[in-house]
Amino acid sequence: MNKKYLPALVCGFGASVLTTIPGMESIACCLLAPIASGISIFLYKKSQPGIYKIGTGTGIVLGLLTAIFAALFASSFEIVITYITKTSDLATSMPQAEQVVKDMNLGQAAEESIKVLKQMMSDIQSKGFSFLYALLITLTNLITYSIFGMIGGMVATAIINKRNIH
Amino acid sequence: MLLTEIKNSANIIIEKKLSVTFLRLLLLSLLIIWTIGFLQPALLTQNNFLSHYFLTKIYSRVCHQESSKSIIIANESMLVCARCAGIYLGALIAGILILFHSIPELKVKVFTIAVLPLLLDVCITFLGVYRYSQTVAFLTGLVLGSIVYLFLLSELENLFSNKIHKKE
Repeated sequence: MNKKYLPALVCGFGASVLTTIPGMESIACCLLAPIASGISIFLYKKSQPGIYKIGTGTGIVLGLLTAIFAALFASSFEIVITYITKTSDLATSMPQAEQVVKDMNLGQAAEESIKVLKQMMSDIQSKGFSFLYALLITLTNLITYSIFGMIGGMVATAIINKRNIH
Repeated sequence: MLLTEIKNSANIIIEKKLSVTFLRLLLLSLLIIWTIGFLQPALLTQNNFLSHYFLTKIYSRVCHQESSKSIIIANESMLVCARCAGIYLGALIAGILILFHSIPELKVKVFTIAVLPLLLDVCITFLGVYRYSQTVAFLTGLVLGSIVYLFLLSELENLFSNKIHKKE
């Protein structure tokens, strides 16, 4: 396996496991993905003693990879938990979501949107799985984790490179 | 011959300066948008249900949004907790202050000093030694956010100046 993938995979998996621990989110907040990316770059540097300086591009890519792995694993865990419990956060925000769709004054489209939302909810409650829900969770996780992962990657690269200089 | 070389060097310097300023402005603009987003409940006086719902959903991916840990402005709870608000506002303040100045030399020690108070606050609060304080969380976030922003900016500027250097 490429030496870039292994630290990203390990740290991404670790971060995703942490997201499933109740209360962990209130401690780690938005720092989980950046910290995971930072550790991933640190591990990459450790695995390649010949490298004196890590390029910013490599840092960004490693951060992004870690975030992607974290997002994919975190989404998978959330999907599995939804499958077991047959409930999700969506159930609590369903009335709000309906109100939002109605407020948009989309006419026929609003009715269709509410239908889709209700279908999604009933799928989750009966089968424990909804393809649309899984897709939405994965996409939002991918976007937010990727941004924070890349930021973490860049900051970690700067710190690790400066540590080598001083 | 010499004049052309001077002209070329001057052009390169101007190009570098412009790209750095553009980068800083771009980053600052993104930060302002992000900050306005989580301050939305306080900024919008009318009951804007739609934007509130969508923004709450967006920020819920990066913050737990516990109302007891969120700053309250004008009887409205912000969309991120005090610590996150501190981090983002710290970055914003650093971004404004550094806009037309060069980044000071950053050492790892600076980062350690910035991150330690936040880590200590998180650990001590978690262990129950003292009760969670919004002010402490906000201030520790503020320090970390500003330092992290400077590290991020220095790395981005390195990346861009390397690209310009390669183009030459």
